[in-house]
Amino acid sequence: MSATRQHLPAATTTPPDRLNEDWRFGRPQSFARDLIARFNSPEAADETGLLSCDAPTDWLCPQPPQDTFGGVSIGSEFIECLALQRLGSTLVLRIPENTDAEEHPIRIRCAARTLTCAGIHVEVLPGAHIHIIEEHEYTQDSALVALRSYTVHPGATLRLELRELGSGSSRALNISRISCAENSCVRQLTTYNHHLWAREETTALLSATAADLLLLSANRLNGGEWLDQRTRQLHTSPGAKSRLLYKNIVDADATAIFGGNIRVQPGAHESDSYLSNLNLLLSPDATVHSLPGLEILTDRVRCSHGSASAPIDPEQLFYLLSRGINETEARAMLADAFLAEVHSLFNQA
Amino acid sequence: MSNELQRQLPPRDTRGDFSFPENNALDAGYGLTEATIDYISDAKGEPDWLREFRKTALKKFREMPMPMHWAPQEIAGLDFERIRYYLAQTTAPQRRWEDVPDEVKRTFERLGVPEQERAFLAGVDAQYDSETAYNNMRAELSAKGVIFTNSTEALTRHAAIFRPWFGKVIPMGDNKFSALNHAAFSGGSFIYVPKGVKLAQPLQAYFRINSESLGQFERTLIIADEGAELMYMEGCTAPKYDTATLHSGVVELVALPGAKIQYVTVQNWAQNVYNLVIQRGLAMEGAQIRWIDCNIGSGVTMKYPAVLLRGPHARGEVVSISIARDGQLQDTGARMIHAAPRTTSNIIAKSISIGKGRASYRGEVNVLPGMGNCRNHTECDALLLHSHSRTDTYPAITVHGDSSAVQHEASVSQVDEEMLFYMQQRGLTRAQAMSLAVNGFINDLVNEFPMEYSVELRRLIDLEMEDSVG
Amino acid sequence: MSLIIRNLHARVKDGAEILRGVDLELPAGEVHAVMGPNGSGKSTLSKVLCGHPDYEVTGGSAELDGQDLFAMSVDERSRAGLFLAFQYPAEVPGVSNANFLRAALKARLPQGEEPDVVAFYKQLRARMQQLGMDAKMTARSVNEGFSGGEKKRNDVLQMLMLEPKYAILDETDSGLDVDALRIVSDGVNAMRAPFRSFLIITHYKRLLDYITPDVVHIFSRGRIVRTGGRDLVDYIEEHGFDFLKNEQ
Repeated sequence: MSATRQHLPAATTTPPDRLNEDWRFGRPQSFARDLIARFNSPEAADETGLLSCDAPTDWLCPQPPQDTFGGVSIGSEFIECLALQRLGSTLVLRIPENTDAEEHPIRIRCAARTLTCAGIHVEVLPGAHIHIIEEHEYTQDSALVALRSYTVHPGATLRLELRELGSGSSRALNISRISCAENSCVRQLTTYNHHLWAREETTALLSATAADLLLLSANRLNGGEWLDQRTRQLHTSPGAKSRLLYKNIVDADATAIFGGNIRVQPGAHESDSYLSNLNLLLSPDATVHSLPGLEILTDRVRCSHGSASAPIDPEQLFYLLSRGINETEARAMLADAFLAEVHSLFNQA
Repeated sequence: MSNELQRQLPPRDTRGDFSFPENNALDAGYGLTEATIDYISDAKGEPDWLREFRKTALKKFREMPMPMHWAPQEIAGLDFERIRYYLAQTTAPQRRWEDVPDEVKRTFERLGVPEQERAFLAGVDAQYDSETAYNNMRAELSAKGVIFTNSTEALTRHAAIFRPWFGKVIPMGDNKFSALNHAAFSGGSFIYVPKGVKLAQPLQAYFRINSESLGQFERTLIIADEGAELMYMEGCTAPKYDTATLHSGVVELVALPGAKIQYVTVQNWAQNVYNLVIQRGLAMEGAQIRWIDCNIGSGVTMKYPAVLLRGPHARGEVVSISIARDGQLQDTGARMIHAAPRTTSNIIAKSISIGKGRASYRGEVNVLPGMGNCRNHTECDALLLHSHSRTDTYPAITVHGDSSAVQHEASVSQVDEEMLFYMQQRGLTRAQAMSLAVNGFINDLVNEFPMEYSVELRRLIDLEMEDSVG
Repeated sequence: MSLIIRNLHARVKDGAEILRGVDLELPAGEVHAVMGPNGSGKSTLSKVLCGHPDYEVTGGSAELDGQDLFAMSVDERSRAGLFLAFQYPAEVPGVSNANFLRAALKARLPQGEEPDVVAFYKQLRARMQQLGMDAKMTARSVNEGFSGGEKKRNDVLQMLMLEPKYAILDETDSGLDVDALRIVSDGVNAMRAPFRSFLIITHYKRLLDYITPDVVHIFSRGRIVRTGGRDLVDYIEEHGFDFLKNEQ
């Protein structure tokens, strides 16, 4: 929680010490260093015009909304500062008050090259209801650092889908901040596909009563893929609700890392918060690291977390087999079912 | 507990907030240097290898940084220069209470140790500051080949059994505090239970700090040979001083194939004590290690009992209760390292934060690559009693492969106001009602303690609750 | 055409032997009941026949219409016509009842063929109505959050849909109230046919009041100790299983 956007360090290839702790588990640190090295490589020229959006032009704005987080970060503030200095393009979207556009999703597209740094700021003004589908596309060996901020004003609703469409050799870093005001409702679903490695850092700030947040992620990881997701649900005011469900299917020699944290600040009574990380292990070479955390600094709250990593339940498998479904099919059905819960939660409400 | 037992055991002083004037013939002074180590080694008449061993450890201790990148910031307040590393009246433990120096004997009588020994223990090791004052075991156990002594005697008289395992479960360089203990260790228990011998009654150690600014570095090694079974219980108290006291023990357990070890700790140190203890067990094929850990006292505790599951079908368990009141940090937890296939482990931790107290659970469960069909279940429940109470949960779970299942659940709750109101309406004070509610919260875990201890534990909790809530 | 079990021995994997020489022949078109005290191994028999991974066959054989049952995988046995209505049906969160049944039916068709959707739903609705099940159940996940009775009914629904040749009903009556018991029994009776057989495993007489067995086997300590007609049920109802103690 140290560096802020107002105090940018000079560009350098030396990552800070904190990288060791916040990017735990071996390989990710080398990925981070690799990414940092790209900032100083000559091939990574500034790229512009890679962000597009089909929203009405009068929703586009020159100025991003005020940063309500004061530089809250989950380990990548250093990379973030580097990215801010070479931000290729920035999209600022302000959804007018009382817009009702939930039925017609807005599409945001972002295409990554050698090293693309993109800023996406969305402000949903009071009473607006909006559905955004954000797609990040990658060429071979490309990398994207996306700085995303979503400010959802009182009474507004945001449904947000982030689809990461990797190229097999791509790298992604999404630093996201979601600020939820009074009576706002936010649902985010992220899906990561075909990245060499991807890291997500999502911080949600629940600073007003009756804010309602749902963070979801559903991923299938295959050969050699690394997915590293870090989340923080920060309750600073009483009476807000936040839920998180991140599910991964880990196959071949893929690795899934999840580090989540719920923090309830003093006085944020009646906070209702939950986080759950579930992993389905499909291969003898699969690896899962799960670090679900709670920091509760006041009483009269409802907080819990869970983490489970397990293979396919043999009883369920047997049940399907006993009805004549072959093993390959049965496993596929159970894997689909595992992720189905996430999609149905997103589509509800 | 049966009424019979209740009569046998009069209420004893479970807090131990009293002291006798210092009467130490041996005093290594403040700070830890090579000279301190020479003083300790001279006093104990140690061989040269051990002196050098301690000095190597001191070097490591100095080189290693405090683990500030993850540890609670409170340990930064510990000043190693303001600690006295060795204080003792004599180095040789007595076998009969009547031979123990008067104030030491009176101390342990007040703490109820001799009565407990008579009532239900197989043997007692009573440590007063840096050295064991009393050590005795029932004669029939010696006849079966059971060894129960302190670390000094283990090194001289039982070296053939002691040395091969000494520092093997918790190596010197494992962390800064294991290095510290390797440099300054004194006292603690050494137990060896031969093949197939099952102890019907527990062995008990009592760690007592009497002197101000003491650093107590007991060193315990317990070896249960194939098929052997034992229970070991550890109690700790100290008077409250204005200056810091340090307790930094190292406890190594070795459960050879088919052996069972249960290690019970009831820690009620005074609030000026830094309680930084390393406890780790090695469980070979089919062996079971169970840590039952209760942290009520101390200012700062950092303690994560661990089991290294080294053989197929080994089982590790941690049952943990901690209570954090104003000014206390209980940073406790558990570690389970699955280093063999078909191993199982279970962790259940409950904490209670009172006033501005802070209780943290820090845990590690690791299923190493190539280890199939392992199971772990972890459950952490926290109870918060006041608006400024704090609880944290920091588990770290790693699973390799597609045949192991690891599950972690944690929840945070508070005492139901309706329930308190109901009890108060029936005539209980708020403190009594709160105490009942808290007892209810940890009831299932208290029942895991040996019967002789569970009643006392409840009494202790009542006492603490009345003071903090009443 | 029949299910023939000869001198079947089986145990819990790495554990105790539970089946100690079961002999049983279930010809096409017949209904056999297996009765016996709790813990006698009745349910183990059903699981072993279906190939549950917790058990291993240590001796003997089983033939399904001349095929070696134990040479087949769990799903092959199912497609060969063997069905088990489970004592404790598993919950399969995230897989809807309808999709599950379609997958099971599709598995019975030649590669690449799909069951006709319209005909499937028509039949599914009819069967559900027959069992007194709410039409909304099709969209719910298989057995998830179902009561004990609902799970049993759902298993019988699957039996009606999959139309097996050999159906084993393992304690299907437990957890059912009288009305549900009658509905389930009617479903089974309607399925009785010259080419279909049933093996009804039960502790009580109750279910056998509704489904009349042709042959009754008494199971004890992992074996069939007595075989007889319908009258054996009444004998047990009257005398309990205590007589077994004297016989062994």
